[in-house]
Amino acid sequence: MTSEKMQIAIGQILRVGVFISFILVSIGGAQYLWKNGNAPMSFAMFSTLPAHFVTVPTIFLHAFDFSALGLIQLGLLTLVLLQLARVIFTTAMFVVLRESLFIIICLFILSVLIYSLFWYHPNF
Amino acid sequence: MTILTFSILLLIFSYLAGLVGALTGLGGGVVLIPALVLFFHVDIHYAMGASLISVMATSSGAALAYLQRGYTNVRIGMFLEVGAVVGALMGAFLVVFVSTSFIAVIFGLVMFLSAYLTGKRKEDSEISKSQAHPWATYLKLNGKYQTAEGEQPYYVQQVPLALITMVFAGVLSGLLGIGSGALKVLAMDQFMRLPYKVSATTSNFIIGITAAVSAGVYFSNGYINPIITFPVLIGVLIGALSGAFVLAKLHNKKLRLIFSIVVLLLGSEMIYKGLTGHL
Repeated sequence: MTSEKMQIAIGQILRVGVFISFILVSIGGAQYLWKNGNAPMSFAMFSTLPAHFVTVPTIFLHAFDFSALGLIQLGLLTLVLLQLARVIFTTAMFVVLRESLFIIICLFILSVLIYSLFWYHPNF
Repeated sequence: MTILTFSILLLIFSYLAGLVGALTGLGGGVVLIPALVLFFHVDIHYAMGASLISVMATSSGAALAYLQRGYTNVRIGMFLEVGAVVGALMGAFLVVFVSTSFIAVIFGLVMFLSAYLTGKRKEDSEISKSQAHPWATYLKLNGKYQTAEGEQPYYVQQVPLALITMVFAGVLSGLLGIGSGALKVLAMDQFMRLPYKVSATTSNFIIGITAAVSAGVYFSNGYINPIITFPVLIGVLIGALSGAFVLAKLHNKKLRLIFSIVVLLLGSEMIYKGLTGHL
């Protein structure tokens, strides 16, 4: 596959991913408003996020409970993981092109991403 | 105000922020965050979290259209991203330790800088047709792009300076939850001397990756709140996509000037509120 075709493929994956994320967030949001829309606005509610919604690994584990907030967080997580996919596919592109310097560059970016998403937990 | 009213108002506002952000090239975050804080009285950290998510959405949503047109220089993007991810990690670690007032003041200053850079930006900056920087030749960063007169080569300048600028862009992105698009374009437009379309699309390609680095830290600290983020994400995404759709048809110099003035006013308000401790 040429690098141009691979770039187009990366773009298509991104578009599908953003669409999935958009749908998940919209369904979760609508469900949330249906249940809580008439409640008065209170900013205190923002500070009481359950613990399983706060780190990437825990969101991932609890994403499929299909609660309103669970669906929104799953949609948001999709967007984050999409960026990871973008770097992985770009790395693959340089592997195909046999460009060792750029493979190293991409792997470095990938490791910083994975570290910050999966290993950084200040509260746990 | 009920939650429903709040969500609808937030949705409409985010749509406008995404639309104008895309039309002017300033990005949505730079108006979205101050508006959330100043008008909706949302805690600045939640505003930053929602903005960070919308950066990833707009970056991924617009990427397809640009990549297919062949403007994006993936080699330049990934090379510069090395600086940006390191900066973003530093910025995101710092955000936990600095005060709200400090964030507000820095944010105001970044808004001034963004308004200035966007205001003076030219669509047809001078493309360097001479010697490339030695690093650019070694890394094969030079490329070609389509113009009205056919395919034109461009030679990349000042690579180290651009890389350092990207570290700063990354720090600001992690510290403030924005895309730092203005600084990224500065690195590519002014320092590397890339054609406008190449720098804008390449910047857009990497902005989402930089934001994802901060996302881990933002999630862990509870800055990404689903209740505030969902109307913002939906609004900004639709706004940015409709912005990209009409972009070709609009002559947007005047719009950019008006928007720069709005950003200046909001920036002053942020600095004032930050200094007087009203946030």
